[in-house]
Amino acid sequence: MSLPSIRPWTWLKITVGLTYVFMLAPILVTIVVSFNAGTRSVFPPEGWSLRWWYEAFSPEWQSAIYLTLGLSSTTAVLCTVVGLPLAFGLVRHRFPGRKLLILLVLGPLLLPTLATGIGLLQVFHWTGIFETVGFGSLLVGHVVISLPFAVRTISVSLLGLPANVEAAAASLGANRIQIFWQIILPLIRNGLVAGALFAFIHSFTDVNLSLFLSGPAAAPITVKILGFLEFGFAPTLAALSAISLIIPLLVVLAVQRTTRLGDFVYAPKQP
Amino acid sequence: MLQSSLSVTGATGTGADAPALVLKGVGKSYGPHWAVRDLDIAVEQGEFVTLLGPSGCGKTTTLSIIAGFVEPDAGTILLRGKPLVGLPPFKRGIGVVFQDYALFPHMSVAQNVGYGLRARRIPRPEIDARVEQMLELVRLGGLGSRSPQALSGGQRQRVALARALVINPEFLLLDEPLSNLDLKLREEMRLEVVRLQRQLSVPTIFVTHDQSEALAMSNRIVVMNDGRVEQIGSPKDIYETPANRFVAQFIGSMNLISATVVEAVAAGATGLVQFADGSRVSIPFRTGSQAGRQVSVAVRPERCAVVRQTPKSDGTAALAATVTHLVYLGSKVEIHLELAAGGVAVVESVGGTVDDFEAGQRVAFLASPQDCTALPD
Repeated sequence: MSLPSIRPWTWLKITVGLTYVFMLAPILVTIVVSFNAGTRSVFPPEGWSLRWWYEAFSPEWQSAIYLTLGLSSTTAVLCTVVGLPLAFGLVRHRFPGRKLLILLVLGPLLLPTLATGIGLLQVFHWTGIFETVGFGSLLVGHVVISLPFAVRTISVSLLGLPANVEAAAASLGANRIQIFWQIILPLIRNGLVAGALFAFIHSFTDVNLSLFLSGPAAAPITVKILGFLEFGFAPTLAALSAISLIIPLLVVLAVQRTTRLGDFVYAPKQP
Repeated sequence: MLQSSLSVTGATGTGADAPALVLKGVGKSYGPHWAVRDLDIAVEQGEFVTLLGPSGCGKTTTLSIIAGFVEPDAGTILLRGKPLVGLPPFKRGIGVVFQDYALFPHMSVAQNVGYGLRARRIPRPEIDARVEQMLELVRLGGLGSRSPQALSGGQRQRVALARALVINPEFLLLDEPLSNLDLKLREEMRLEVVRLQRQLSVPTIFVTHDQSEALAMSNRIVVMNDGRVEQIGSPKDIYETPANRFVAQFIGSMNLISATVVEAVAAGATGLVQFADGSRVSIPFRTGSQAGRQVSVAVRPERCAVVRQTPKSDGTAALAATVTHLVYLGSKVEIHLELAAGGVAVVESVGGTVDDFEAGQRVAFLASPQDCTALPD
């Protein structure tokens, strides 16, 4: 083989390698640090211990993790339930105000979450629907910022439905309800699952919006970690970071076994 | 049994011989444009009728209106005397086979075929038995557990047919179901579709833009153009006595030679026409005409002949012509002519050889008057 034909591949390999190093190395360092025996977060560790993991599973941190899990799962379910009819309307129908609705649904994707957070905080304050900060307002906020992901993936799967299958089912005697449950829903299942998953991850990892909407009684793990950081980077935080990394990862791996997520990550079509 | 209920006249009878399907004055407009207009079509019991026309002629719209996917803006549709307009597709009991087959990708072949029966809440054992029977009928026995994606194009086609037929539809609609198959398979499936249709005696409308499909498969053909019916008739009628220039040129190829009507002639009678070079011939008229009107004398290329010298007048239409070029097609030769009376003509010579004529040669173009038809311009 001649040199010129090797070189581009070599460079590509180096680039990919560096990308992995910069993406994964900090994560690995964090995980290693969480097993440090010393009281300071240093690398390499000054011995091995599980004490920080015991610390991370203390009742206080546990409740924050459960709250986050509850918040993210509820957000995922609500986003799917609200996103399905929204995607249907936007993909299948042309009505006055459709453009505005698209803007409203996808808007939070374009706006800084910070702006959304401040806006929501003011709305809650004025209307008094929810206690200004707490689980209720967190949930509303997370649904607003995670909805675009659900609507987009569900729209993509609706657009990808094979032509005429609904007409075929209708000609065979299926009414609208039967067509929805027996034909449409099974065929957009991947999109629904992917949409729920993206909403879950987006909600689970959010810190910007949660900063504004969480209260003392209801603070997701990300906000708690941020608060704890003011007292320095204790190895407990390394363990907590590892936990908040592993949970979404496990969910993705579990879903990946049954659903082709790649279709929605790499080939998004415009709704 | 089939022949007795067949009609080639297209009359919309009543009583025992009532047609299976009647379209009366059906129209559909999109804005100012009429996709179809003033459709009057009747399909007899057990009959196989083809809607034939160029793309955009409204044939698929007509099919969608019958299936109930599109609501017409005008007219009535009767299926065995029962009005269909306003009835949703799932209550019509009409089987539809789509161009892309529209099989359900998340179901096995057997589940696809059984879908219509499940939607009707028929008991499971009966569904299984009928699906099995239908798969045998379309020669897919034993493939019920396969996924549609694992089948060839021809096999998918059979699944789509089985799925539409297993519900014992009162009517069958086929939307260009053969156009996605390669040539050899398409010709095979033509026979297969006709065999099934005859065997089950289900009245059928078949949509195609392929004239050879239409001629080979149909009891009757409805030629459509620009949203309207141009002619309804048996394949032989359509080919041999086209109603107008559009039908004449859309089906097969046709020589059209301008002439003037010499004296008034009634529809179906024989009348004298005169060509631009002064020669006259007496030919059948499909529609009546007044004297002095311009008409086109239509004659098929395979019904004409070319000779080196003009014969003595014996009633044969003979026109002076010059050979422009020859096209060798293996089994036949096309001789392209320029007529002294104006216009061009093509003659198909089977068994002739290219060497018989050469470009620039002066010849006579011959056609027997009973093979000619006068078409209004």
